[in-house]
Amino acid sequence: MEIDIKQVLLQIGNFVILMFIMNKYLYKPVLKVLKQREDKINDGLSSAERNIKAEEELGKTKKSVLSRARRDAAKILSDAKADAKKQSKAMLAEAKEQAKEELLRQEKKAQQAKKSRENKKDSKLAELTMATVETLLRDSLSTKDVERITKATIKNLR
Amino acid sequence: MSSVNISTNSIQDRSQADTIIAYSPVKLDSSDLKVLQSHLQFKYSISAPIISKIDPTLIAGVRVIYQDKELDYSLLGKLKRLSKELQ
Repeated sequence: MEIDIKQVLLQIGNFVILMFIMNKYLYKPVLKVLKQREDKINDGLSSAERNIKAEEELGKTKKSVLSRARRDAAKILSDAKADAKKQSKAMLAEAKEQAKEELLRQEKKAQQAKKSRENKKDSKLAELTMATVETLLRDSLSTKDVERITKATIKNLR
Repeated sequence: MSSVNISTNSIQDRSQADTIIAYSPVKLDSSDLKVLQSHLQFKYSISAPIISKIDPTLIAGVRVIYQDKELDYSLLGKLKRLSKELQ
């Protein structure tokens, strides 16, 4: 068998040209598309990872915010309870004080009313006594007695 | 003699404003009136003619009125003062 160098070279040239054309118009675009897809997938993956991380961070933040909010709420509640207790204590003390004052005022008023009643009674008694004495004197004194007393009164003026 | 009231009662008889009127349950004689006059002159510097009038409500004693002054030496006046003090 005889090798035709010319034919071999031609075949080689043919192959090279074919390789060049395939490389240029088939492999490169396909590789490019594949590369683009890979990039896209990688981007998606990294984005998903980022999202997961962000979500985790968010979850952590949420937890921390919630726990802080719970703590704050508990503090506010306890403060409010303490405040309310303090206020109710103060109000109770004030009400007690007011009630005491009112009681004292009423007692004083009652005492004054009693005193006034007693004074009125005394006054009426004095009036009645004087009226009785006056009547007794008018009935019991004779004209002579009256004259004697009158003259004695005038005599005492000297 | 115990204390007497010197009040500013209105005079019943304006025509006798410058006369001392001595009210008493019995008629006063001239010696009584003289004693009264000298008492008023000495104690209150009142110098005026004096007349006697009967007032049986006084019980006993005498009540003197001169202008706007009233000097009550009557038993009724004493009782009234005592009643006032007791009230």
